[in-house]
Amino acid sequence: MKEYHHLLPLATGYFGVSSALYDFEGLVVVYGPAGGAWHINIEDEPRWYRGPATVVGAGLLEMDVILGNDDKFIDNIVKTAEGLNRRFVALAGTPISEIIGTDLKGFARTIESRTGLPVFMVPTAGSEPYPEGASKAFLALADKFMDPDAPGIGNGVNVLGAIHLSTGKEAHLGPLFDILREEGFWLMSTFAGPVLGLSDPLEGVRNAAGAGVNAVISTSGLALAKRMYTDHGIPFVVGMPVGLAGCNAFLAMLRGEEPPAPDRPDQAAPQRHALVIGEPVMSYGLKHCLVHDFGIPRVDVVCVAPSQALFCESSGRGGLLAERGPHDRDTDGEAEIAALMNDPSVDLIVADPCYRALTNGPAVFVDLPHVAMSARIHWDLDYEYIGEPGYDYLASHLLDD
Amino acid sequence: MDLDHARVRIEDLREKADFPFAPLEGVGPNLAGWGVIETCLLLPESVAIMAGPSACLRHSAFMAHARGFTERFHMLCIEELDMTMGNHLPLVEQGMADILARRDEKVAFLIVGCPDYILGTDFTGVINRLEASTGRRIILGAMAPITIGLKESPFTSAYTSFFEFLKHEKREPKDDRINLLGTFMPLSASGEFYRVLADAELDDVLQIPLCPDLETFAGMAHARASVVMHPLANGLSGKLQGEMDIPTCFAPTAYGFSTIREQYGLIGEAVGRTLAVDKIEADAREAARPMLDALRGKNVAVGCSINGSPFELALFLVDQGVNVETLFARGTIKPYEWKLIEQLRAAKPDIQVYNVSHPALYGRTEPFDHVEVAYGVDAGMFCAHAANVPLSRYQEQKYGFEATLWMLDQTREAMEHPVANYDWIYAHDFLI
Repeated sequence: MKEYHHLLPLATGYFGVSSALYDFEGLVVVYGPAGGAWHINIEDEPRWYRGPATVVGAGLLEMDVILGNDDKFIDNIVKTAEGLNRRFVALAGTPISEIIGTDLKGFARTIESRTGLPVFMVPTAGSEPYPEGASKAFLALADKFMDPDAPGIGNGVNVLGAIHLSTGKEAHLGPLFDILREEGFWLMSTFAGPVLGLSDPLEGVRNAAGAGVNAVISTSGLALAKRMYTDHGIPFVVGMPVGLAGCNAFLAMLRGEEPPAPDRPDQAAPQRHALVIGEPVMSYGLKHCLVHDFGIPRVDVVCVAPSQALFCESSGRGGLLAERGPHDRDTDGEAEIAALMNDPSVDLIVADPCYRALTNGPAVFVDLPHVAMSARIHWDLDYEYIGEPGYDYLASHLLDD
Repeated sequence: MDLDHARVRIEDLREKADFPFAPLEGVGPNLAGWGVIETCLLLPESVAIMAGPSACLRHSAFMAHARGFTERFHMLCIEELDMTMGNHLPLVEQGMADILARRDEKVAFLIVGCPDYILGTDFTGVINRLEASTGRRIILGAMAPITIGLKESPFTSAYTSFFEFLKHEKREPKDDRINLLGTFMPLSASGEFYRVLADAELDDVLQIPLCPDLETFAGMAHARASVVMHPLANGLSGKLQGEMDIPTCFAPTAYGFSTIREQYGLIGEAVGRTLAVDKIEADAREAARPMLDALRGKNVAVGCSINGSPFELALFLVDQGVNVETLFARGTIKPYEWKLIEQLRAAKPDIQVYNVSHPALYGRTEPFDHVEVAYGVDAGMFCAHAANVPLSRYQEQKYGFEATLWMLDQTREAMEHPVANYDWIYAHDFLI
């Protein structure tokens, strides 16, 4: 059993569903008491501000559970989805639906037949890691909307796993999109929101099967990438192109080339032992950057969401910007992370600012917000991680002027 | 789904069934008060330990951290399967024992969530054993939004549970002692309410947020009367009255001059003294005049996240000739508010009352573009061009005529130097 005191428990499955589906003009119904959906919007979905009602709560009450008022909720969902003229309805489970065994799949079929809208359920509860919920949502989205016969575009690329819980504001991905364009790639979809310039927010998803390659930038995109390789033969590359060397390696892998040997850094950072805490793909991207751009000899990674799938060999994977070290580990346990952070040899920590509460040593701390941890608390912080802006941000903390 | 689904003219709002029904719950930037952890930790020398699925814990943790309760709040993550099978009882017991071994608080609140509430998990054995082994008092509470509107809210229950620390006191009434109940942020000791009471030789005021320890808190059992400033305290004050013969008076935060005067009258009756407020009222009316002049002619909206009742504030403003045309409310209208609604219905029947949780409302700001002043961050969400006056209960706590002047001063400040609603929510944490 995990215990938390200073930290927040990480976002869980239905938060991940929301993060994946929020921007597609659908209706995401969190099947539980109203409080669950309220808090997602208030804390974990800063995109909600003055926006339409995307994530709504079923408003489940005690007597509804006892009496099994399923018809009432189906009616309410139908009425709302039709009234708000949404493109689809997604049902996400909560601890309550998990415990009482609500047949959300049956709900989805009934609502679909009554509304004519695409409706799907995502089997979530309340304890699983958030990437699991997002991953299931991506697969459901693909099943529902992706056109298997979409025309092939050789230089087309889908960016998978770009959920705000892992990657923050979409603006942080701007440098990635710019680099892809400069390298001659055509951004077909991000699978977590509309592609700029397309009037139909789901058009990118529809056309995604025609891409030449998939770029997986968080673990939540892995399952979809594997599915798209199995079903459509699209190879994929996994990594977050943090800093300069990471960006070069990532682009080479996307081109199907061997990553170039990194140059020696122009200026090495004085730190000798860094600890990176966060989402797996992002954290290994940071590790690559700290080692190759800043010459830090030892960088340990603490993945707060499962990283196992990242390192499983799988057909179709054309490249992986992650190298597991002997001291890397997966844990979101507060006590264990605190012990690692306070290892006297650790002189640099890159993590969400919330983790500062666990440190009592002199290590340099570089803020890299992880929305699945700190939600809106650090949403507006000024930081970067991709490519040159990412290098500059880290350099401003690590190098002397 | 147009806005007609989300609103009702106040002249048609006569009973709960008239309030617009939200088929699904949209977002609610109006959750002030749904704070079980916050309520529990008002009790001095207490620690709160919440057990449940991490999703539920994450929701509550934001409140605990935002309110500065990090040091006294622990969480134990339980998986759904363990809960369903009842396997979590020994885990919770061990977890609590481990935490309490590191803490020195005398009281521990064990807070569970909706799943345990629905499952009807019996924690009696766990609590009895923990009390025996740790020597601490363990109080069971629930952070269970699944109970909204059906019964006494969990946070009212938590507040009422404080009676357990008073009921065994041997009552020795103290002539000058008053209990002030229902405050989260404490009223300033230099404020109007304290001065009015002191003038009536009632200078020993106890309010829970200022009690440094349980011993001080237990002194509430010896008060001559209780004054309740928020409905959540009615359960506790009712027990103090019913079981310990301590007179009580419900006088919630208000802004209308006549309402405040009536409330001071009620407080005077409860405490058995005449409270002299004539001069304070006259001075307040005089001071308010220019600020009210500035507000007349403005289009105003009032939301339900303010400290006090939106209907009461709206009624005061309407009585003063201010053009209130929009209210944002929730279906959980409190019993005392129906009289205010009746008065408001008579004074300005065309006010539109919106269900702030209705999904048809979200993303809609254009119907409120003409609103110039919005009270409450929930109203500010929709009234994009208005000067937003949050009147949050996480700001300074004022009471009596002083509260009205403070409200008007905040209005003047917001009109002269507006703060973006986004900043109220994101930079000042006034949302929850």
